[in-house]
Amino acid sequence: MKAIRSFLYAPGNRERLIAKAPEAGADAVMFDLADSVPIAEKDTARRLVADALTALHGRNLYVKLNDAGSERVVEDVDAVARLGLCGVLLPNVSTPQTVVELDQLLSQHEQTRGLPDGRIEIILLLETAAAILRAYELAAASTRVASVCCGTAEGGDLIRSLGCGWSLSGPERTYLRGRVLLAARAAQVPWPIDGVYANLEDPQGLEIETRLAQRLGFRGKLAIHPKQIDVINRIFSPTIAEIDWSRRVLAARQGALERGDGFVSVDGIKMTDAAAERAQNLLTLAGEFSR
Amino acid sequence: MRPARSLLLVPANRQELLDHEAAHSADAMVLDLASTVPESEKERARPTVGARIAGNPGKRWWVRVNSTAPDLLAADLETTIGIANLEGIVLPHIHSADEILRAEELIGTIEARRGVALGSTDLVVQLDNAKAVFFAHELAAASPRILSLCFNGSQYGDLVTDLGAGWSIDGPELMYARQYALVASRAADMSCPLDGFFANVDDLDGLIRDTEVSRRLGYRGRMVIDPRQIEPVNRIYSPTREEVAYHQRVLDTLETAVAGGRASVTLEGKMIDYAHAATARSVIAQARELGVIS
Repeated sequence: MKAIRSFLYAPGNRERLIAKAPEAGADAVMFDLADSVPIAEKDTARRLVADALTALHGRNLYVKLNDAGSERVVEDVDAVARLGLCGVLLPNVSTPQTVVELDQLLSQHEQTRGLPDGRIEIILLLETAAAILRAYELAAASTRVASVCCGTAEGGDLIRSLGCGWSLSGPERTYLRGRVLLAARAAQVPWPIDGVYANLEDPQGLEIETRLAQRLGFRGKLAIHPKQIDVINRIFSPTIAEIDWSRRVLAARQGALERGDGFVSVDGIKMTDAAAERAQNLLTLAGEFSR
Repeated sequence: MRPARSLLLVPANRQELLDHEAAHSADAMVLDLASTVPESEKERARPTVGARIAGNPGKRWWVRVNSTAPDLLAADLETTIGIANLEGIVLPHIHSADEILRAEELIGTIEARRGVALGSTDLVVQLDNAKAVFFAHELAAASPRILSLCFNGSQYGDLVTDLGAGWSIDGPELMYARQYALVASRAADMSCPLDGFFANVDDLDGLIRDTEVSRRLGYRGRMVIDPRQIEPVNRIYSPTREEVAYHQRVLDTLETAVAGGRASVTLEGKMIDYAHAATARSVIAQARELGVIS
């Protein structure tokens, strides 16, 4: 997956929002065929989203499918597996088998439609108790899984599934996010992301929520409104201080190597090669996001 | 594993750290052939390990070997196994139980060839990547040689880099991983779960706070990388005299209660029963082992 800080949702049945979403400043657009589309309008939405994928080919375009394992997923994939689609978000996934099935479905369409093999990515939306428990198996079920999204939104499916409370900085979600992040990285998922922040009128809350996600190791976040994008993009970008630190680490490492010293010391902190890797990652990201 | 509060990690190519006076108070020494020794120095460093360890018997010695490349691992194990007075080997950069089994096979072969008792080389497995932590319970069970797991969550270290996470002393970034590693260690009956080093050697206040968190989470010792870190680390991982005195009161109070026909009683406002007595005996035994009480 490319470096994507923000995915902006656009309801698949709303032509005007579909047209506006790509210009809102998000790194990617997430066309929604699921909950934001009334059942009666699913077919309309599939057609509109398919047209948008073709028209906007070359941008970072993703589609949120209907619930994992449902018949609708098959129809969704049939409509959107085409040039322009970068990946799909699979909600309410709880068993590795449904991930494998989606992988196979995508492969079939890639073959019959002359699309590059294995290129369409899968993002897993983990929003059930079972998904948290089986996060590693789910993430490891297909090589297409480029991201997992920890869906801990207030009032969302996961919170209901657990029957737990929700607070911004409280303990309710600490275990969930820590486990999902660890499992995702254990399965070598390159780009774990955080779910939506539901309160549109609370920029401060969004800031706190996003900062915490970033500290835990999530690389990006879903946005439900254009006004959330700036905060998300800013927080998931390397800071000036981090860029400066990265340059100093790489310089200090060079010096240490010349002295035969395996420890690199910057600001009194002793580091090994891992720090150089982190520094390199940060500089690469900074380069991506400054474009 | 015998209790070890502080394990001084010393790059094998820079052993002058061991000449520091404070270095002698470390509970154990770990000579490192792995990530603190640059590639270009590994060949030169390897043969110095045996002489250093064999020449300093009254100390507890471990060697951390390279496990990322099979030829480096083999060369390091060849040098290390059979050194008189070696307590064991630290395996870093492990991702699966299979990797441990491969290392174990190699160790067994070398033990047999050297005439060292089969199975006598003990291991500590370092948890320094997401997969190792997530599967810590499986790694712990991979071999009876494994005496402890060492959770490596140092700032800017391998695990934090692998997670892409930030780092803070008592923040949420590594809390799940650090607790999970502890639970996995204890579930495998390991008596001395180990924590990794604190990277900022100039920040002794930070070291103290971080080690207090570590001890509260259940860790019994940690790696240190600077002689100045040893004293505070040894102190924090030892039960205090006040704790020992309290737990002695727990035992006395419960004994009296049991004699009177009750196994549940309050001490200083808190309910205690047999579970608390078991905890008390464990703390007192630990204090005795560490020389806090005689």
